[in-house]
Amino acid sequence: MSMKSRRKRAIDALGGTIFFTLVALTIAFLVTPILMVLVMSFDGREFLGPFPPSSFSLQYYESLFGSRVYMAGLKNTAIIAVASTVIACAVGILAAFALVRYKFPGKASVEAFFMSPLIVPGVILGFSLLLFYSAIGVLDGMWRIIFAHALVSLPYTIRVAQTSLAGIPSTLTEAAMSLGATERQAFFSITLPLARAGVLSSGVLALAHSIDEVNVSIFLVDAYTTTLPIALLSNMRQQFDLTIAAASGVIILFVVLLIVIVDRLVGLDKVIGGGVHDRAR
Amino acid sequence: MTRARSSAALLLLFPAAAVFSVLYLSPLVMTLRESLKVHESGSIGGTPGTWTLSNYSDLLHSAYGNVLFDTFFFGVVATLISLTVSYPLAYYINGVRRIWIRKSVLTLLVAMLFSGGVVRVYAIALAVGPAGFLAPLFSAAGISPNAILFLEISLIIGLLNFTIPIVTITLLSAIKNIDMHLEDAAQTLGAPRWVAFFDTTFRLSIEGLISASILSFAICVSAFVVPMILGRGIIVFATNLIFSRFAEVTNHPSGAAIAIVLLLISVVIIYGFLRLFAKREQRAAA
Repeated sequence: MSMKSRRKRAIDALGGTIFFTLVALTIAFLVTPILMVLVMSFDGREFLGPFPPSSFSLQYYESLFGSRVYMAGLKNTAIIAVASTVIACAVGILAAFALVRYKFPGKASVEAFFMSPLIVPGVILGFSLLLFYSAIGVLDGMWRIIFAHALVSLPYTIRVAQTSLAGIPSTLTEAAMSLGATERQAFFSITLPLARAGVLSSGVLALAHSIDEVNVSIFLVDAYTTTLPIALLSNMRQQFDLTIAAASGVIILFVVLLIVIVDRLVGLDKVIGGGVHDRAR
Repeated sequence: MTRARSSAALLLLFPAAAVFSVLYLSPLVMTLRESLKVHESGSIGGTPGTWTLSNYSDLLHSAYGNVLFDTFFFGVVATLISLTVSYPLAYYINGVRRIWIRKSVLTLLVAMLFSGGVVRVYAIALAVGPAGFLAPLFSAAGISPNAILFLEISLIIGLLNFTIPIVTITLLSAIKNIDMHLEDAAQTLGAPRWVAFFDTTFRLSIEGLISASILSFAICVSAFVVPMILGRGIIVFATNLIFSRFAEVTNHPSGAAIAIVLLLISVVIIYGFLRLFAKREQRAAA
């Protein structure tokens, strides 16, 4: 073997080692904090002691489910998430259908406008909505947050619904219409059922978004309405209590359930877009 | 027929257009107007009918300059680090042959995208806190928990926890569309592995790198809970300043002016970055 190719091999081996170390460290960096929170949530000690806990108990879960503030927050979060998701999905699907099926002047600008809230920091939206709601006299925290979350989720639901509607050939609608269906009938009995997976996954996305939204909501909560993440955040600023770890455990469980649903519905690979030269499949 | 069709499109677009113009455009316009009103101490909002630029000129004070500098500085640093560590991770996920590894890493990344910001900031705060697993690393490096450097590092760790998953997923969807046989071909023709990689896959994924960095930068600049908890009020982002103008100092015109400046600077940076890329592409095509 020549000197040159031996040196090339050595460099390749070194590069490979650095590569795998970096990958392993990155994964560890992402997983470890969450795993630590999960373990600490079962801590049996009354105080915040060093990791790992010396004894285990469910005391922090008991104090979470026994807390009036957290349970009220959880109820509000659930109502807000469902209501805003329904609004965002309904409005988003109609708009996506128009964008996929019709050509009209200024379409690209409309699309860009619909996506533009994504680059506006949530805090700016929250602050602006606060000024707006106060000016028009909407003072109820629940309604303020429901519509705010619907707005924040809308770009996502439009985008996801657009992708899944684009995959349905328009010839199917034309066939239904040539058999005598009206355009509306064709939409509800052909297109919408075919787009079901996409519609459902946009709904899951909107739900997940609403459940942990803080940046907008923090401006819009009132004295009677708070959400679970905001209750957790204000608790975190006052004291560093492991009840938050228990709440994190519950939220993580819920998120894993949502992911399993998305995976069953459309497949996780679809979420990130299918590849043309995908080796693994 | 055509007229009927375009009116159908209008009808379908109407709800979305209504939501965006009522809940998005008019509030932003209202913020712009509020930022131009005179604020009298003691009141919350601006005085109606007045007009001033003083809310903006007040921002020229160096304390505000520092806040804006910190916001963008940490955004750039966290973006550069996350590109560096996410690229190998995305490349690894794309190439790994064992389906279960690929699936579990993907699930982890998507779970991180979905799981609450508050939960993740709490996890980081716990990890760098006195009981956390990162605490020994800090004390080994001789960094006291009260040092500014401690706050800066934990803030960057917090930001990375949010940017790495989204950057990795964005890069992965770019790398997925690149034919890995190109890299094999370059190696067959005698290029060392890393040269083969930089000459084929890396070059072809530059578009993905650009969109990933825009996403990461936008996430950092709009971060609110991360600096609020991990910056402990010592490192303050523009978003935290806006919130304190609402919750603590109650000076809406000043909060509105900070919001407009933050929005303008981030739009200019993102737009500039996209333009830069468009020029590159034109040159490449020519």
